[in-house]
Amino acid sequence: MLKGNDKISSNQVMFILLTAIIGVGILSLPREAVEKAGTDGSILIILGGIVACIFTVISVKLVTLFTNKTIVEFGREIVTTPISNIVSITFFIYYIIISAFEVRILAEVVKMFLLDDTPTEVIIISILLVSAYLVRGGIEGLARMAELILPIVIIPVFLLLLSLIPDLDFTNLLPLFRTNPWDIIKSVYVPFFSFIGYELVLFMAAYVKDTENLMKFNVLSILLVTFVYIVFFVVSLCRFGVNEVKHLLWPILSIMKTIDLPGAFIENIEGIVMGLWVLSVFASLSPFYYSSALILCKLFGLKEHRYFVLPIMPFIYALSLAFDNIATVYDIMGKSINYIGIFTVVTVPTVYLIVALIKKRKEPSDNV
Amino acid sequence: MLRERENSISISKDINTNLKKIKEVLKDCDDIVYREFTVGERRFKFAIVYVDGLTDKILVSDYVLESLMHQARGLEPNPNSVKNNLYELVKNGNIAITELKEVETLNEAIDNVLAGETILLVNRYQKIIIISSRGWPVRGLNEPQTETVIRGARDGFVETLKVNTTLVRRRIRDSKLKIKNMQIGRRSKTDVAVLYIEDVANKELIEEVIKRLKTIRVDVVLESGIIEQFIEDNWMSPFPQVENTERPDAVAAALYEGRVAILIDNTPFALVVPVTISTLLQSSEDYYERWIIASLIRVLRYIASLIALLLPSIYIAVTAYHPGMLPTQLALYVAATREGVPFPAIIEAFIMEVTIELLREAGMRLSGPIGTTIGIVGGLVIGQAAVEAGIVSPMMVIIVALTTIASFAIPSYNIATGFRFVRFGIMIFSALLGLYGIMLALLIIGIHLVRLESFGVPYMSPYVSFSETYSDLKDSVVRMPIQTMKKRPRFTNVYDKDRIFSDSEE
Repeated sequence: MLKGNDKISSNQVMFILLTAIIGVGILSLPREAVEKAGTDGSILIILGGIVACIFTVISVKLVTLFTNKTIVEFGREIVTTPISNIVSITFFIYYIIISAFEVRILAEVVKMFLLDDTPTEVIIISILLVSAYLVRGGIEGLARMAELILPIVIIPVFLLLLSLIPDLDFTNLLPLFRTNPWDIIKSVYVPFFSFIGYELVLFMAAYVKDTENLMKFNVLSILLVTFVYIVFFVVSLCRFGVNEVKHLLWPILSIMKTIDLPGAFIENIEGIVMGLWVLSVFASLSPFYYSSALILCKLFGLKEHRYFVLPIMPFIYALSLAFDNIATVYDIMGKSINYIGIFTVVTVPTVYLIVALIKKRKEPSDNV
Repeated sequence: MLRERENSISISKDINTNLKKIKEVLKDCDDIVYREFTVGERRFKFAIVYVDGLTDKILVSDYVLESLMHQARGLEPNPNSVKNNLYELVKNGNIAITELKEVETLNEAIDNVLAGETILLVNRYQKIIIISSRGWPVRGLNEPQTETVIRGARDGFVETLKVNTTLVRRRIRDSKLKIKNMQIGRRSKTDVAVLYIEDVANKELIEEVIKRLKTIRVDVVLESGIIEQFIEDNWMSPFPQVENTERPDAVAAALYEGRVAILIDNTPFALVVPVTISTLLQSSEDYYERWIIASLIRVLRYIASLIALLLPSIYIAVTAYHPGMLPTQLALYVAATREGVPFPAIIEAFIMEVTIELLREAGMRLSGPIGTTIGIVGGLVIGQAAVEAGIVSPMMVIIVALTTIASFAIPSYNIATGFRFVRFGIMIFSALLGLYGIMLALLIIGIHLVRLESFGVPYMSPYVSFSETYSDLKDSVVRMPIQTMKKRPRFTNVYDKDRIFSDSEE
């Protein structure tokens, strides 16, 4: 029987990762990729995907060494309690910033496209409350919600993209391989940060029933994300061309605005797209919010994460409103996410894995 | 105040004492019939007790009294055997009834009397014979009123449990179909039967159902709804977690899917667990029609659910916040019709929604012709008059009418009422925050639904947790051809998984 025991399957982890990763990163990715590599942006994205894959493999390898433990707990076994706690707190801050960043972007976009006069605060508080409702329910609800939201968002969006095909100018994709390879390699970090979220497995793995499939589904989810990113990149490039994409804040939303369904009842489908986008940001926000609550819960060695959900909310709220305009938000928060990210999603899993492997190798020899 | 449970009263040797005790317990129950008589030349004292109206009188008089009083007289009694074994003789030899039981306490005997059996007391014996003689007026097998189908069986459950179990048994001639009886209700002592197919249904599910039924502590069970509310997982939810049906073929189909049915005496509504959102949007007809048609109807039903949930809210959001979403001409038209309407869209919508709910409720309580009149007066006259008076816009009337029709297109009445309730909540959200509010409301409902479970099965199955149950998607928004549905649904975690066999297996 499918009893609710707060365990999820690897398959569900894939859904959580897909929704968490794609959510916000996709908005600005085409612009960033074009800025760095022009028409070679797709190569850049593929490289970013490959790098993300490598670190995903590292993270999964790490978590499969320890069963039923989150990084907060097994970190203590690897690098002593104080260091591990500092790392966990860094993760916590990092997730709070990501959550705040996501709700702020959501509020800005909703304000811009749907609700001109509604105060940003109302939009932020309402989405945070709904997210808290989901997060309090635990990881099972989170996973099921991701399973529900992903097809609801992805299928209509791809259908809408199909209707764009007549407007696409595929010559915009050329010329390829004009950028200096060294430049491309140097800017791989740009698309890579759009893959942030794969490290959620460090927390989720503790609740996975079939850890043996974890690797397969995690790598698959990164591949799917890469695919989705490339599709969106190609579409926005074909629709607008290099120069225009560079000047659009959110190329994907601009594309959606230009869609004109022939003979459709609805004049502009902005409303629908916004609705779907609210869903996808929500699905992206919740895993990070959940993880931050989970980190606190594990740091204090408690069983129930739900007591931390509401206390965290004011922090996210305050942080999300700390900056005046969207440009500073992208500048300061986006950058700080990237800098902390280098530590949390790249350095930590790698170092932990190396240390853990060395320790594991030592142990048997100690016993002999 | 709870009645003190009488300690079991033992049966004494003297028939008069026994009768006196019974009469004491059943004091002032004037529907009880006592008949004392003597048998044979030695005038053995006998008595029968039954409830007038619950018992098949002809059966009792022809096969019990007749044989005991007349035929026994004709026998040449062997004094010794009669003397020693009168009771056995009577029990085995003289009563031509198919089902006999014995009890050893008066309480049990009285319970049986109240259930419609006849009890036979024999002087000087400390046992009482229960003669199965239940027989009361039964409603004929009519077509179910709530779930009519174009194609499909026309018989529906009635108020008698035995008839209902028979209707199911006729559809499942399998020794593995188990029917477990129990009684629920301290005072009503309602018969409840739990039905399942042993090697199909999951054992944990069966145990869970029986466990939950046994924990019900209530004095009266008048209808399956009372049991439903006691055994559901989350009583705060607006959505039903137990399915009810009047159709024996629906129950049989559910049993074949590995689900468990609960039949209750005195009601034609059977309960089926577990349910998921997709089973609630199924109708038994879906399987009798060919798959293309059935799939189309399924899709239509999902659309109807969305309309029933969302249409008024979308109207509110679009008119109040996003008029730009509509084509220009339509937007102008809508604005023109709303010209002069003194209320904001949300008030307008609430006025119309409340009106239609009132009409629906009034029409439902009244019988045929008056109900129709109410519909005409309400729907046509009030709608028209309200528009002409300028209280609501004609668009709003269309929207509300469409919403109501859509909610009737949902096969399960109780999930439709759930949608009805939720609809008002979404309307408030949409009045406050427009489309964003609708999305938030949908998210809240979604979160509630994904966390809801019915007997351990996710309510949103097969749309969530589908790593194990993805094959159930064949029978969800569409119904795939029957040839492709080779396995039973997975959501109940059945044991015997195959539904279609290859020749070699037969």
